[in-house]
Amino acid sequence: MDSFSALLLNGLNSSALILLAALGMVVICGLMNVINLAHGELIMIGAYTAFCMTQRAGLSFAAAVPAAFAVSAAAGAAMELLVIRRLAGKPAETMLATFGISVVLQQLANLIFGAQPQYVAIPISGHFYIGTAVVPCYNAFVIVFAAAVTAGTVLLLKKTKFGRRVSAVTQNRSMAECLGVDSARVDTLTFALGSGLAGIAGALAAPVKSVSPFMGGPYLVCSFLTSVVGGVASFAGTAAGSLLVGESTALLGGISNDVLANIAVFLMITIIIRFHPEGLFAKERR
Amino acid sequence: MKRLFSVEANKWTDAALFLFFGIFPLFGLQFYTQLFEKYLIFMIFAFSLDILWGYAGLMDLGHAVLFGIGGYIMALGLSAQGGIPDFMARCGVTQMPQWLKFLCAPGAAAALGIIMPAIMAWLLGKFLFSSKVGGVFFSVITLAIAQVFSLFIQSQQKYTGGFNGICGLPGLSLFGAELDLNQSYYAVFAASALIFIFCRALMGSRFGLILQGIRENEMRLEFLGYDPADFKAAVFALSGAIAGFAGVLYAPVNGMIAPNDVGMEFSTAAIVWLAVGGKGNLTGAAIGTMLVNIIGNALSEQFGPFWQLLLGLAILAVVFFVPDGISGGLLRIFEGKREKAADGHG
Amino acid sequence: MDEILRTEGLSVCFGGFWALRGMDFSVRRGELRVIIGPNGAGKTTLMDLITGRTKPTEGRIFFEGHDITGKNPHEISSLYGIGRKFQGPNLFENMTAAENLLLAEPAERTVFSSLFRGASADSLKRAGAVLQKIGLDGKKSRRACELSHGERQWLEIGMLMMQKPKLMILDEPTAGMTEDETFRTGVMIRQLLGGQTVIIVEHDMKFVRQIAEKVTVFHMGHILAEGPINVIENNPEVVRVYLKSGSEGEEKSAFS
Repeated sequence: MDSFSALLLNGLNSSALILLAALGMVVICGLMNVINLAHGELIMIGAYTAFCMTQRAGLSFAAAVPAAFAVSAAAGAAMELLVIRRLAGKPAETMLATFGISVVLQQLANLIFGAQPQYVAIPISGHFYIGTAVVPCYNAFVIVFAAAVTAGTVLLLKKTKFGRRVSAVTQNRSMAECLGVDSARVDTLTFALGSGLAGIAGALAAPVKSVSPFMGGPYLVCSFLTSVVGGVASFAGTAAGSLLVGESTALLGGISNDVLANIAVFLMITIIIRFHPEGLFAKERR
Repeated sequence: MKRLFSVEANKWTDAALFLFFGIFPLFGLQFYTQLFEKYLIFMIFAFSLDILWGYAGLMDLGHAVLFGIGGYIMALGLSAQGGIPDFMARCGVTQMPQWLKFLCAPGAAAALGIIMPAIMAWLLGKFLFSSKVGGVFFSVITLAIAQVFSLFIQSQQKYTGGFNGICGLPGLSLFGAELDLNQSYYAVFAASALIFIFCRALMGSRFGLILQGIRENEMRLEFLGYDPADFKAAVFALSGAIAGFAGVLYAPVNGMIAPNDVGMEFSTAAIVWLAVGGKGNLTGAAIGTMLVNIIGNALSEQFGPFWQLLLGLAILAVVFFVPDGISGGLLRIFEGKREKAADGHG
Repeated sequence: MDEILRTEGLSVCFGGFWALRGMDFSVRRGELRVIIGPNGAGKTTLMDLITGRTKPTEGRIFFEGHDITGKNPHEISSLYGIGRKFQGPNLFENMTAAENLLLAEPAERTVFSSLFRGASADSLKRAGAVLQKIGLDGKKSRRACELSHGERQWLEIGMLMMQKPKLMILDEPTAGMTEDETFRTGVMIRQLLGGQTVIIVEHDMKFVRQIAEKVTVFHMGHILAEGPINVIENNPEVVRVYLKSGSEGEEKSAFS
């Protein structure tokens, strides 16, 4: 039973990381309807930013997280301005272009940092016990932080003026423009927000996973599947989806091995999406 | 007849390309003959992606999986010719598994290497396309499969050689005799020409027309009485068979197969070849494969990782400046000439 | 009376909004029926239901005595022979006019029958004849996206001619056309009638007068009136509904 609760706690931790990674995807894909195949590389940028701040510049992790947000957001804004905007209304071309961007970003990271994985020291050491299960403090921090970031994003989009503008543009672009919303600016900011969230995910993942130029691929797939399973435009659904993915990977990994667990979860998600293309938790829309 | 003229233009380019590859070994540049033999196999792989992505509009981001299934089946069969392969023995396998005995016959391994990916693609296609999931989802699912497949191959050390792959494979042989370089080259050349003619005939038929209809307007096609899911599953299966065939050729010609040959990077590469060469007309797949690989071979020695960076930039440049790729651009020039001529007469 | 199409108590609800309510609608074989009604009256919704694009919440649809309720669009098209022209041209944009027509040809619509099958001489001949009828024989090698708006509408009507369905549904075939083009469209549709049943959804009253025999008026998801065009035009209920909700000038002027 002890090992079971340990597995559950582990699963919760990876769920939190998955949620953070998927959050940016929900903002970009759910609100802007852009399939960004470079999402994993935005996470990678966040992770390298955290690496540079803590290991190279010797700054604290507390400074690294906002820096990761800022750098990834800036990269995202640049992407939106230079590429995404010019391909509006061409989903196939957009996908191909973001795919190109992901290759470019991977290779840039490879040129700057080399292919060997880098490591970030765990910023919060120590651990505590729940029952007999060991919980590293950093894992608990990641879980709380992910919940807080999600809540903050939802508040930002639901309660602020910026959020209302975003939803105005999503629902009816031309009408929003007529009412004086600068939709181009809103697009850039939304994309930057989604990218920044991806950066945060990278920074938080960096201490527990290694940082490498090609780390983005699995994150891209994982966040896409998670957000689709949850219903692309729904934050609550994405949270539930990440719990589902994180916990089932951890539990299955406990009884078999990681590779088989990954394959099983992937199959499970594919089957779910096949029968619920709108996602498990999406509201009925028409 | 605009389309007819395009076909004519294509025909000359195709003929020139194949003529070039047909006489190339006569120059006696062994190193390049060996290289081009590999590129011809890549070309077959590119054709398989072109009928799927270029014609039917289904962007498979993990196409190398199908290539890999064919390649690994063939490699297993070839490696087991002289009893239990080394990499298996190292993992403590002492008795030859029954299925591996079956693969020892190269013909059986080759057939299975073509049929298996086809069946798997067909099953996945049937499963996915019969629901309302969109094309984007197909791309991401295939991307996920590519990752899972790499993990799987690396974890099954006992049967796949793990990270190192399966090495030391014998070359292509025909009727029990191993072919020398030139013979092997011409065998691959004949195979690629046959696949090209096969794809050309298939895409020129009503089937090809319907696939383009799916790419252009799937919903409209449904209201004309076609079931797009059937066609998409069928072209995915055909594409899988051809990709598998390319893998079957690759294992002996390359002498080894490793996870690197079948992973994300190779899937990416095929996307680049098609994007650069132009998709949806087969000629572009041939041009793109050759051009990118030849330039890549020349540049990667000098520039290393810069080359990959250039490839990424090339995708962006193509999307913005030549959305139809090189072949599309060529066709446009020909079409423009024809229109001018027609207007002059009219 | 030989009914080809009948709906019984057809209702559809989109998230609380009833787009159709208990619709009993029927069309005789060989009839040309025009459906008019203000925006949101449920005209296109009914066409979506008949062709299988939307599934009804309640009720049944019968075609030639077969229950086709809830069938897929491709089954309804290939097994039962219902063809449709969409509101606003819906074409294969990057394919030529001739290719668009060949795709509409009702032969070889399964995977195995289409493999390695070229266009037959007969279908090429038919495509040529249709191109002539819709006035596009000089532009058969043009891509659909290079044609003018009117020509695109005609091309889609031509696709219906190729398809030769038992029931044709035309959703606003003259939308966005000039007066001259509209008239030519009317002539084309008249040519279509040869044993085929046609349902036309239309806004342009002048065009309706040119072609219509029997008219059905929809309003808020149910049938308001049905009858010959001259009777309908003088029906006080119809005039009232149109004047009240007639935001579109042409409708208002048509009835005032």
